Amino acid sequence: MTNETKLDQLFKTATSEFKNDLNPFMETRIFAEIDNQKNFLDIIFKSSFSRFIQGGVLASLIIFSVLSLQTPKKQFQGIVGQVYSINLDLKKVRKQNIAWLKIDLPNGVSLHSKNNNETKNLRTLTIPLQSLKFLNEMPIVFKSINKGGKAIQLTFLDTKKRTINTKRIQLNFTSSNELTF
Amino acid sequence: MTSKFNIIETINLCKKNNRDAQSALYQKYSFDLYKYLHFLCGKKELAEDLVQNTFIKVFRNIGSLKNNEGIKGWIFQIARNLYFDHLKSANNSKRDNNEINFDQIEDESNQSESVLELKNLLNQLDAKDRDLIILVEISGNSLLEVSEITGISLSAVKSRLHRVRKTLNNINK
Repeated sequence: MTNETKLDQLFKTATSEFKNDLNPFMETRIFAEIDNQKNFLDIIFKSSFSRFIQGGVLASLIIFSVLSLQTPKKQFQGIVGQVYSINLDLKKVRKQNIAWLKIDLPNGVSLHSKNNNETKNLRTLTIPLQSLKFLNEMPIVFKSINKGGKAIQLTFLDTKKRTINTKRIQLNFTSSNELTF
Repeated sequence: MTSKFNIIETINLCKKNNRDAQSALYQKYSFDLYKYLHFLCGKKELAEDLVQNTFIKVFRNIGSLKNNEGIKGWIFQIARNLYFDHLKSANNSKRDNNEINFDQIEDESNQSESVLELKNLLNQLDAKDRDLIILVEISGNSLLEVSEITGISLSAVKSRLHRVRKTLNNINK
């Protein structure tokens, strides 16, 4: 038997003898993972703009009745100079094996913290989510200093800092007298 | 859905997040995909992780699939990209942390002698050469399909395949 024939024979035999020992729960695992990711992303959008925080104190709550929070592609409206937060559900994040969150801010938008004044100068911030294991949610507090369309990019990374998911949050800032409900 | 598997109808339903259609698509391609990934990476556990991540990506992105008839190639392309990303990150990690090569770990799966013999033979190839020969000889893709999956020209696929076969014959002497 030539080498070529031997090789062909080996391919043929190995292919036909290959056992399907794929985990029988694989399909369930896949759909559970998809459902988890879907819920997790919904939470981000439903929580957007849910709080209005000034100087670390919950000052007031604005209800954006014009926003359809069920349709993530729709742009959110905000007022220049006001402070907003996006709440991240850390319980759901943990289920996704997400270890890090990278926040990229557009020009004119800055993070807002009453305890840490340095964060306002950061354009990009990478947060180790596992160090927040005692918290159930993490607010990302920010404000814009100028008008116009902006996008905040959230990148979710695993322990090896590989991207698991990304989310772009579209915002439109206007001055208070321009905002219509 | 009809009892006979209709791929176009199934994909259209998958695009509407129909769970029965997604399940049918999984049933149709999971074994072929697992077989491809198992021979490619040499490890059952890693192959399973890659199957899982491939289908998650498939169901999340199926709305962007334009040519429904090219679904098999598209699924294999996603799986292949995930494997090479993994390889890249494993190599980086090995370089950074001096970790052992995952490909060197003995396989725990309960496959036949022929399967193990072929896996040992294929493991002596470079990952890209291994990918090429598996796509043709094990997954049964045509050279044109391999060209589409890998993004390599048809003539380059032919010449590389010839070279890979020659290498395998020399190893297998």
